[in-house]
Amino acid sequence: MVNTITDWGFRLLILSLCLALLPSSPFDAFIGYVDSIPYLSYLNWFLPIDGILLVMQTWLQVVLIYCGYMVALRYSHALKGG
Amino acid sequence: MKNFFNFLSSLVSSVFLVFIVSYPVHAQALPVPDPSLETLTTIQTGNEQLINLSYVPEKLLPWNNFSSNFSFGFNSGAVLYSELTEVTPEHFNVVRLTTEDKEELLSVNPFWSSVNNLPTQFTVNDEIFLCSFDNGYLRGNCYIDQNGNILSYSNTLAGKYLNLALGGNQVDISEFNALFSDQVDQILSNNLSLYDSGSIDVTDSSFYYFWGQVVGGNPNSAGYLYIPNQYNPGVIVPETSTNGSSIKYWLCNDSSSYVYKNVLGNFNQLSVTEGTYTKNGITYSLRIGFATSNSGNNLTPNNTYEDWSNHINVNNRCFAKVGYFYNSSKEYENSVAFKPLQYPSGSTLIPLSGNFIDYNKIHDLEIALNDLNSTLNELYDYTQSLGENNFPFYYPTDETIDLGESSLPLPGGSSFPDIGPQPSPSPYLDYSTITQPTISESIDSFQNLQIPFISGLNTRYPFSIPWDIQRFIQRFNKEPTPPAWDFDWNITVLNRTYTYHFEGDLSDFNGLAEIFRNLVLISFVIALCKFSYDHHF
Repeated sequence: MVNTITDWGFRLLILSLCLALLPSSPFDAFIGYVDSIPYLSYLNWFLPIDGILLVMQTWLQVVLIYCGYMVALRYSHALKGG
Repeated sequence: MKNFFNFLSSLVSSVFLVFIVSYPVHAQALPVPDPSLETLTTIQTGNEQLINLSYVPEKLLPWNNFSSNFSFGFNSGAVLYSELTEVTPEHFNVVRLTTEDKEELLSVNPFWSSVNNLPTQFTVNDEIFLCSFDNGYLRGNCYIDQNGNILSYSNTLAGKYLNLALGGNQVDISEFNALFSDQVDQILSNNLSLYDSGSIDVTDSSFYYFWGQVVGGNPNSAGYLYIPNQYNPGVIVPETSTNGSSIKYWLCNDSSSYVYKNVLGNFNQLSVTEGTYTKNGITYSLRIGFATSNSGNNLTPNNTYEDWSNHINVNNRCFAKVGYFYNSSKEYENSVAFKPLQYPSGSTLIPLSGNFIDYNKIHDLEIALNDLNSTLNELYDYTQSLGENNFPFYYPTDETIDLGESSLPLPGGSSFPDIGPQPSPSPYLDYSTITQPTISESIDSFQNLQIPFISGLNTRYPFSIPWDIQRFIQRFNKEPTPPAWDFDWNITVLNRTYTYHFEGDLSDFNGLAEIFRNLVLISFVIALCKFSYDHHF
């Protein structure tokens, strides 16, 4: 158990070190460009983008939890089978 | 291969766990800020930082927020709240409006027909602001810059106004100041000094200042009135007569009512809307004072709005709604029921890290902190109820605890032994230096809490791609605005140019648009359910 925790901690440490070497997101400028798109507020008047975003984010979290659960379940079965 | 699978699975699980932990929780409810938590917040949109009020998403504030803090008056004195019982929460709608210059202004819109032209006031950053309702619309003068500082508000009439009747366009009114400045001589002759800047200098504190806007004839004219101190503010407004007998009022401007100058009772169609005035740290605010007429039908101060509402006759029966500046310091606070809505000062602005405001996070955190605070208070009350046996909680208090006579003999006689000089600095904890962080500060520290691993994951390429997508999509979320267009289309045929003017505004269909948006949202949810079902999610 201790070895497992240490192993995970070591992996997270390595991952964080690797993250520090990675470049920052190149899409920031492009994302900021969206603000300059005209008539977005008009689009929001027709479509409930805020509500859609809320539903999508909720749905995404639920699906990710489900997928994570399935991966964990498969991983545990692999351990048992191995 | 198996090691690779283990590493890959652990990597995916790590990313998944971090993603879940760092992902904002949006699944609880639509962001509905607590109305009791009004505060200024900062919203970043792209490269511009706008200021608005935190109850922006909230369209309606409880009436409780107004009933105890707002003062409305048709008259003065004890009848200030004579009709408040008829007001229900749905009569008010607090909205945020953005001007063309991306300036944020607050408006308080009454849906109470009989409160037209009534001024009200609110306070931002300890500054008192006054709003008036013009034909059911509000012209507010709250003007806040990008840093949350109050740039200007209406001293007398000059300032920035928001006219909902013009579609929320900002109206910069300056001509009133010019008129004011033009009348220096007249005002000086009546113990009023006027600087070139157009502000009022109170040279005689025994004067209370009135101002009014002359309507009819030249609608842009403004008149300024003052009244000597035998007028008792906040208690009763003296009745004026057509010949201005008892108290002399002065109309200090050159306007369409010029011929009636110095004879208030004969002025032509004087009405007062709103105004504030700050001098030497004291803010004077305007309130409807009384109504009068030059048609021989004098109206007493105790007349209600309805009583003189029938006197709105441009040509024959003139009326006046005269307001006055009164001292809003504490000595008058109770007498005139002046309790403006209090907002936190600018120092309590909530800085929001990142590009997006997460109302859920702030809201939930504030609720949690409030719950914690209330729990601690209950715990404290409980421990206090235990009396002496309030172990193990200790709260520093200013009260002296009398332990009574000790039955044990003191060592060294009847007094304590000299233990020598006290060490300096004192090794004991000085409770007076401990300040409890406010909720805003706590939120600030929470917002600035940076976990290197998590923060690196959502900003480092390529792991940032999910968050990039999230940020990208969220940028499409804007404040819904009804489409409006106004343009000319020029067509040249046979060397002649025809101009077609297109102008339209769909704001009349706001209700239908809201229904349509709700239907779209429901359809989206159904489609999402079907998609999830088809893909065995």
